[in-house]
Amino acid sequence: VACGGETGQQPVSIPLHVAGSETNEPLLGANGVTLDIERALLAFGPLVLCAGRQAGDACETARLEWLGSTVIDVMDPEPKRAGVLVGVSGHVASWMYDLGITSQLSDPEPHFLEAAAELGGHSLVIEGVAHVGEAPVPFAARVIVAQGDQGERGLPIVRKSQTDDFEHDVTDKDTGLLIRFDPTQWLAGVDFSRLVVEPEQGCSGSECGQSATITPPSQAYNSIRNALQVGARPRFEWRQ
Amino acid sequence: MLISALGAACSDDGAGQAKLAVRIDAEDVIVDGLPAGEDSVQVADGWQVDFDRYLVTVGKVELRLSTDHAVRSSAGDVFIVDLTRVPSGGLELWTLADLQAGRWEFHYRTPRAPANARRHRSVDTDVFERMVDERWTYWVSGSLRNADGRSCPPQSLATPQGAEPNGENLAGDDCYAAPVVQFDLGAAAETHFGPCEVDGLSGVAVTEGATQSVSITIHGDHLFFNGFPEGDEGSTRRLAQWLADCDLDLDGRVTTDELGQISPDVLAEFDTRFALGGSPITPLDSMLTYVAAQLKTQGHYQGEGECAR
Repeated sequence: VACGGETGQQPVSIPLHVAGSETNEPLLGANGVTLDIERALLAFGPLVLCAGRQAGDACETARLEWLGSTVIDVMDPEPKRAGVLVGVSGHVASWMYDLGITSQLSDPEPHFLEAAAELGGHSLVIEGVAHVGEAPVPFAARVIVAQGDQGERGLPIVRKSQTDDFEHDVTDKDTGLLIRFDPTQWLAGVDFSRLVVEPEQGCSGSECGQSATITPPSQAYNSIRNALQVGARPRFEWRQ
Repeated sequence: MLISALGAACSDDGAGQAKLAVRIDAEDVIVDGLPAGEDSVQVADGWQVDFDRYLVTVGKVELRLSTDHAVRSSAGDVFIVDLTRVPSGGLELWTLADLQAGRWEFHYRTPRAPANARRHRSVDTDVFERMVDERWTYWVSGSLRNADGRSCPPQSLATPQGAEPNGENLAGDDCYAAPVVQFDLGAAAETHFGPCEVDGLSGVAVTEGATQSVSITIHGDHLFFNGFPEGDEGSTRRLAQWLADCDLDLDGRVTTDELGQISPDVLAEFDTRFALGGSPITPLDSMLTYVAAQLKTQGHYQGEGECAR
């Protein structure tokens, strides 16, 4: 953590908690297709909070950082401790994070942290049933969100935008930061009607229904990947 | 794209307070276009891009004395300028006089076109009036050319009007021959740039009795970036197929209205080659929002210098 020259800064260690969200209504895909989610796990971390209003390269005075990773059950609203943010007191105005896969300046290959490794090398694993037409269609998506070889090496993949609200004065009175993810919109752009694969002829038995597997390259995969980067943002809730 | 960095020029005006002349200059691609090719600064998916109009609303220059931010000087004029018609040395549009010698932070804005905007002579009156009526920050027109080019509008939105497809893209959208695709895009991309720096030095130093000169540089190729780089653009690719795919009615012309109808979710081109996580606008709910987000990153300082946004 690089520190600015401000006076009165104190070293701080702030517990970091993460959580999903309670979803009382079924999630929806494109064209109002209803979805029952059975499993939705997100790899999250590392996280950096910056003094300036623009993260990325402009984050020359990182206030706080957590270099770990954790798997979040995004359908579970109960907070879970992820680790400790370490840094100095002062104003924070932007954030940036990875989804379990980091990029290093010194290495063209992505680094899979423990959380992504736990998800088989993915940032998000989401499975459930889509109600397309008359029959329920099981679906599964495993999505990687990481800087590609033509991306900005060394920079976290998700960064606060100018339209995101985020301001806080970090003090030693802060007892925690909770980051809450809401998956409601992550599948909203997926056109499940284009994904359904009919069973092979002559197939029989319970494993033999329609199914939808979301893999690249596909509209569905791109849509989820983009939603994780520039869709609904997580909520940052400070505790004192 | 490389652009010659204009160093702070200095001339002796005699003793007394300092002056700063502020110019606007256009990245060379705005005038010369972007060639197709494999080089890192060329368009990697086969399209040649040329601009015939590149209007920007720019102004509200402000200086803040680095040692005391309460000391400020500003030039509030907002100009609408066509960057395709800016001379290679740039245009001097603002002068800040009676400056205290020292280093000053440099800020400027690309606002929505205000009613009191000033028309630069590079802009025709009717075009200027449309910019103001629409309150656009940018109005960019031009063409994409590729002898083997095709448009593959998203199936759910395409209205091909009898056109015959010649194949499909990886997402299964029908594709249609399109060796030339015109584009005509207006967008609000209101942005405050600053403090600006170049080569690690913030703003500009002015010396007593002298006139310094600095440049606001507007880059022209960010529309075709595959991400939102902050700092070094060297690893960024330029791609234009997505824009060709936004021609929903296949009339050979992509419009602002068409961009507003298209969600990035349905564009097959927005695949793993794109890293959108640094977008200055979220959520990216349409391709018009995407274009505005890219345009919000185009303001630079002294060529390749960066400004906080």
